[in-house]
Amino acid sequence: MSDQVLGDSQLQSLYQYAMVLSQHRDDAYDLLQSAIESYLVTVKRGNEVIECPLAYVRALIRNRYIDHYRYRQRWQSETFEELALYDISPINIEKLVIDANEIKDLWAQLSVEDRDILYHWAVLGYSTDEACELLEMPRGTFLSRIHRLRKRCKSINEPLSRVQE
Amino acid sequence: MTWETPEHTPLPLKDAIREEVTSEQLAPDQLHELLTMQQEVLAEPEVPEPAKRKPAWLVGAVACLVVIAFFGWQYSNQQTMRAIALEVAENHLKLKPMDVETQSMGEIRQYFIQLDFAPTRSSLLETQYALSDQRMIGGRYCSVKGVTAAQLRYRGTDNELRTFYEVGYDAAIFGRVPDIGKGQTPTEVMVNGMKVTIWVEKGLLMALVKDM
Repeated sequence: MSDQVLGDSQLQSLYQYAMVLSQHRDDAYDLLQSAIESYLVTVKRGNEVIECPLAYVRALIRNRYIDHYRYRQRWQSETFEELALYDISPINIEKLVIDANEIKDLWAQLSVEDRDILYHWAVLGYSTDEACELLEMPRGTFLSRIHRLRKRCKSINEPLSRVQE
Repeated sequence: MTWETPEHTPLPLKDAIREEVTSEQLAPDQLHELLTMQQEVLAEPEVPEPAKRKPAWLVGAVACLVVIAFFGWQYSNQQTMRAIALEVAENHLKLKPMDVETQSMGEIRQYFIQLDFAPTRSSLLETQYALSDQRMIGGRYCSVKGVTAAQLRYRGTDNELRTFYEVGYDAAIFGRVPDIGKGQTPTEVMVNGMKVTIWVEKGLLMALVKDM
């Protein structure tokens, strides 16, 4: 069962994911701890084969976050943007640039859904299409979110470019 | 007085997010706690699961079997009682001569020395059927289901003959028979126009046959 124990780096990675969602250190730790407890119960029962413990616990954290905080923080399981018109012109998200000093503020201001998908893209290395599929987010909704993100990056990039000039 | 302009370091969005995310780290004590928790839980011996609930179909099947067994046993018992009733009723019809003619239970006891039990007076005969010793005609050996028994003949107040049987009670042979000592009511079986009343008293199976 030693291969079922989550090591230091895995625990740090899971904690970071819990932080991405909750943006609160105590909540993140509680999420991680309860998810690991649930994971251990499943491992002990031995009824289920867990091929990738890291992904399994990450899913537990996400589900728990949605269950526990959806009413408090209004997790948008059905986004109203689907009904609105939005710009879905192609954007190369890879080319977006941001001021290193601004990312913390921007990150905190993003919705939890935005952070979730960007985490999967930037940290876990999924393509945006894969992240959409994994998180069951419609592609249109994601593009809408990226356009809004680009605008926010622009507002940072514009003064930045002026400084650089 | 000089104003320092903030440094602007442009970063690809991806790198910036990665740096932001990975800047959060568990404290060493938290990390230690989680590692210890995992090792402790996984090292615990397997606790045997509480007895699993039996599936509903199994419970139902067992219940059906119990019901079938109960009715089967009851039917079997009824058949045994009927067999006893038929046998004693047939003997009653034969009216074989008495081996000993007496109106004394004492003499009856003295005569029936071949039995494994001592013939005894039934409390029901006098109280329920008005068959006192004075109404006794006599007795003879017979058998009920292969077990040696005493057969006593009475003449009732209506001048009709009654045949009374006593045999040592063995539930394995005679099935479950009501014991009046336990407050149970004697069983009445109607066979071939006769009423046979069967009960257990003082450890003896007793049967009284009366023409209807």
